[in-house]
Amino acid sequence: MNLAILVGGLILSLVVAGRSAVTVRRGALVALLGLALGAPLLTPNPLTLAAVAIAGAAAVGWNIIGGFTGYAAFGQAAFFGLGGYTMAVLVARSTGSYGLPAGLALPLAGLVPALIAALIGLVVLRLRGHYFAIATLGVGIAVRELVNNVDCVGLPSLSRPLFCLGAAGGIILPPLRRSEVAATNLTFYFAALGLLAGGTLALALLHRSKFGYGLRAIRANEEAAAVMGIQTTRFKVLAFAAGAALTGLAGGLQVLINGSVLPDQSSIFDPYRSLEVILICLIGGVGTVWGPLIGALVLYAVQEALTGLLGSGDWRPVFFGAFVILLILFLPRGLQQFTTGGGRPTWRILWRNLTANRV
Amino acid sequence: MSLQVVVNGLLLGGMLGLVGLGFSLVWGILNIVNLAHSALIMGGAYLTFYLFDRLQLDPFLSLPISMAVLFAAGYALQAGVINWVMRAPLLVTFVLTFGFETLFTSLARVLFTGDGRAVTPAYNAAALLVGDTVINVMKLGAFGVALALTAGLGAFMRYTRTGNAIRAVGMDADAARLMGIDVARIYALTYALSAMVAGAAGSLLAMWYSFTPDSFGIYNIRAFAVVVLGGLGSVPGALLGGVVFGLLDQTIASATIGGFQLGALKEALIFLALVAVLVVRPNGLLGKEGYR
Amino acid sequence: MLRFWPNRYARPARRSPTRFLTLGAVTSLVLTACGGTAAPTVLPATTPPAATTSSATIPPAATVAPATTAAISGDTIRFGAPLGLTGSLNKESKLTQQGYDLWKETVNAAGGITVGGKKYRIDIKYYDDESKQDKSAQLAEKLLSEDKVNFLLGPYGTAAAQTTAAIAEKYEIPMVEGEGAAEKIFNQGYKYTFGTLSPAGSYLKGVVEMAAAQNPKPTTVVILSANDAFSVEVAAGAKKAAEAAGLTVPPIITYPDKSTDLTAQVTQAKGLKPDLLLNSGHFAEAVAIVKSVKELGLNVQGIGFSVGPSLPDFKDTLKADADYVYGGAQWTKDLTYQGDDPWKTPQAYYDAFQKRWGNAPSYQSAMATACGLVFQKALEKAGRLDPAAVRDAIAASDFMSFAGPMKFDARGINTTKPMVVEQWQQGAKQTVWPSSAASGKPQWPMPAWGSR
Repeated sequence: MNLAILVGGLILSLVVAGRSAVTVRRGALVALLGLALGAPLLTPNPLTLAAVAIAGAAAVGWNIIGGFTGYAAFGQAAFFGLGGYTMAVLVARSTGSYGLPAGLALPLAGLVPALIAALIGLVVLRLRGHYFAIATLGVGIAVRELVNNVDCVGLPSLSRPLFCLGAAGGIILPPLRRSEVAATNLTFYFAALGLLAGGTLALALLHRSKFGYGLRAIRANEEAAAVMGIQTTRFKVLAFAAGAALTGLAGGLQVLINGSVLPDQSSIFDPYRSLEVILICLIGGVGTVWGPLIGALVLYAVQEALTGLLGSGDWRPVFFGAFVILLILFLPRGLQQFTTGGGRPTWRILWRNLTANRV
Repeated sequence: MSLQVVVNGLLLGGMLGLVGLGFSLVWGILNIVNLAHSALIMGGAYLTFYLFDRLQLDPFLSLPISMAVLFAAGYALQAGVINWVMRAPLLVTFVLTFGFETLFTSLARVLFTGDGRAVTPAYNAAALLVGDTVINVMKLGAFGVALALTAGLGAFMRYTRTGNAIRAVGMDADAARLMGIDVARIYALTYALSAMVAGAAGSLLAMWYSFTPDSFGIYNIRAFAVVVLGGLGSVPGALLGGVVFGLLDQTIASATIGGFQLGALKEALIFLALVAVLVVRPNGLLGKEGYR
Repeated sequence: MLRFWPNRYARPARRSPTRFLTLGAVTSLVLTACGGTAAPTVLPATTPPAATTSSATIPPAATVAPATTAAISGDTIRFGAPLGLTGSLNKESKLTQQGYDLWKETVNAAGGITVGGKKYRIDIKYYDDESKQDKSAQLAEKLLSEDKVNFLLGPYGTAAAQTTAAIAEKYEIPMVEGEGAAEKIFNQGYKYTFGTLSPAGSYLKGVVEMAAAQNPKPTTVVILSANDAFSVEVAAGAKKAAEAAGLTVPPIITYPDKSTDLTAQVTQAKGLKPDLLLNSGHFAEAVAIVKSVKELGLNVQGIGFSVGPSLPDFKDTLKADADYVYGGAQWTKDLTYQGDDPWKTPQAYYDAFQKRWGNAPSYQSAMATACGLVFQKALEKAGRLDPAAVRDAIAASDFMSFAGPMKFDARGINTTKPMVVEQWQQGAKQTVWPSSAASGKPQWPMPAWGSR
């Protein structure tokens, strides 16, 4: 059932992002919204779909810095994790935590990663291309390790610590109660949906705004953009921070759903997240408004299909790797090529993609 | 910093230098970041393991075999697949090689299972004693191999026609093409050489640590760090970067500042240092523009 | 005019989305049909509890799909377990799965569990969480809300156990696990999670106590620890036990988790002149440490690991160097337990497991099977399938099994079961501690490397 919802949503969003007549696209958008809002009626566990939305929202964050600005960051998992930890510190009720309501804590869970990203960005955004990629990768690793080793931080004058990250043990959030479960799961789903929708809206606004034009100019040719009077450093840092904020929000929501957070590599700082957001944007179209949404739907639909066909065996990652390879060979620009790019999905285009970049 | 720590650092550094050498070659000449590098190392390690386990072949003797097999595999990979995307943007090749890494690692998990493997020849604990310092002979041998391979590769690049062709392609592929060099073949050859070195590194690593298919992912990041430290575009730079990394690693691991152990923060500190190097001196210690 | 080649200069026809949509619709139908995740069988749902004013800060919305407890369908009790079947934990997860399945098959072959006079078969649904904590939580929710399993069997690993425990608490469905030992999980006041295994802090306690009782008595204990939640607890427990035994313990040497090269740490340990060297970490680190210790010529009276020596790979990898090494284990086949279960003795379980799966059981398997036994006994005692009643029956568990005594303390973890100590002796594993259950005696001290 989840698979049908994902595929249905995918088709609708492809139409919305495509080049059909405006009325058709508007209709598809309405249908898409309807499907999204009504999905909980079709599936008893909206959290599986919420996971898709969270991945999409994190990818929106990457799209801002990697897609629009052209600075492909490979350490986005760090901000995902930082957002998660911020949420945990604010919501938990152990020492060093604040016990705030989740709704209040969520925006803050986006703010902290943004601030940290701004600081890191000032240093790291001087680098370009491969070097920037590695620097962000290194930052991602360093952040996780630092969090793994920090327990409580406080000032000597205060009676209680400022915050406690729990070092290797992590933080456990207060458990929900049985009676709240269904309602809370729904709330999580709609929150994730809202995050993704808001992120896509933000991308659309960005696309048309002066800021967005500036970012795309930087991607096209940074020197020329600087010459034209765009304050490249400020724009880049803002983009990096904005991307980190969105990814951090997604991370915060994920921690609420998990109910606890660990600095483990299998937990909120999973390096696979960094690659997942890039993969999602690649599938959907790097630097496009609908890219993250389309990409997330495709990626999760494929994974659901693989699980359905192959079960939970060892062969699943093999096929997943093969899928990634085929995708990047035949569709390096992602499905965007068929939507905003205006091409028809024919075999010839796929062949042309393959051979276009030959040595 | 005791002599033992220095020795440990140097030996480890030689290995890491070898890991970084192949990576640097592909990055410098082909301008692609090869995330499948760790999978190639894994190939060498498992090959050596099975040769040792089934045929009792000494791991040092299995080096030529793993190098040859990985050379062929690398050639096939580049000529068959990666050559199709050479002119695509950075992200494409990154993800392609990531896809190969996932594919090969999961295939290895299916074929070889997740059991821990290691190659433990009879002489694995033989050691030279210099005062209080222990120098493991097997690791010293591995270091020697790393040095020899680095020297050999450097000499090949500098003194043979093919080596010069490779360097030319790294400097300017179009100009090289105009001069009559078959760029596609050179690309395949370079990747094959990188795979060969990776295979050698894998065979040596099999002697050092126990491993599973998942143990090799870390070498991609280590290779990055080594290449950045030593400088892209320089063969001795990779070795130097490796040695610096090894020394840093071993020193930090056992350092204590004011009662606080730095060892727990080792990875974080090394990568912060890496970022610092990237910002302050992106060319690393020995790097120059282009591949010389 | 014949057209062999399309006219490249003609304008493309107006793109019609119809073809694309039909293709997509057909694909989705085909995939959904082929997809193994069939729609959950419609079970008679019990009425959901009335929505109470909760202290949750999120305002309750109208319940759309009531997540209710599922009534037992027909004559089957369904369990669910998310396991790391792929990913870094796949080996241990497979051993856990084999443990669960052996219990299931044995029970079903004997006719099933009798609850309130009626016989029920057991069925277990597994999902692969890819060794990722996020996915464990998600899959546990899926098992409870979509697949509507009746009870949960634990996942593998502390991280996964931590998240799944929260989910079990949320849904008020009992979960019994045997693979996540961190006491942090059990200090949360969860009422629905139980652990058949001994807590993390006790993993190396046996080794310390055994060493302290030996002659010559060790004086200095150096502890190396990986920097992850589980290992840190183990190391802290070891330090406490050592200090209680009157031994000197320098500060614990911590290294980043998933390290493979431990030469620096062993070098540092060497400088502290240990009599007993302990490590709290995982398999690869155990192997690396033994290799380093031999390489650096560090002669100690004993080396003990929290994880590693219990696996046969340890000997395969280290060969003769594995001798004299101690390891903490939740269970070994040489113990002398007499259990009230289908296997009765550890040896019988070992043989049955080996016969069924072709590989030897690890202590993870034994703990997994014990989880099943706990559920079985609790269900039989409760006489009802109501989760709250079953939960209370589990909390009151008190029986001996082939895996050891099964009794939970107030927090839900099994503090009555001792951690035993194994030692590799001339290529074979012997259980050497506690002496009441041991099959062999510890070979102490370890001979110097040169004279082996």
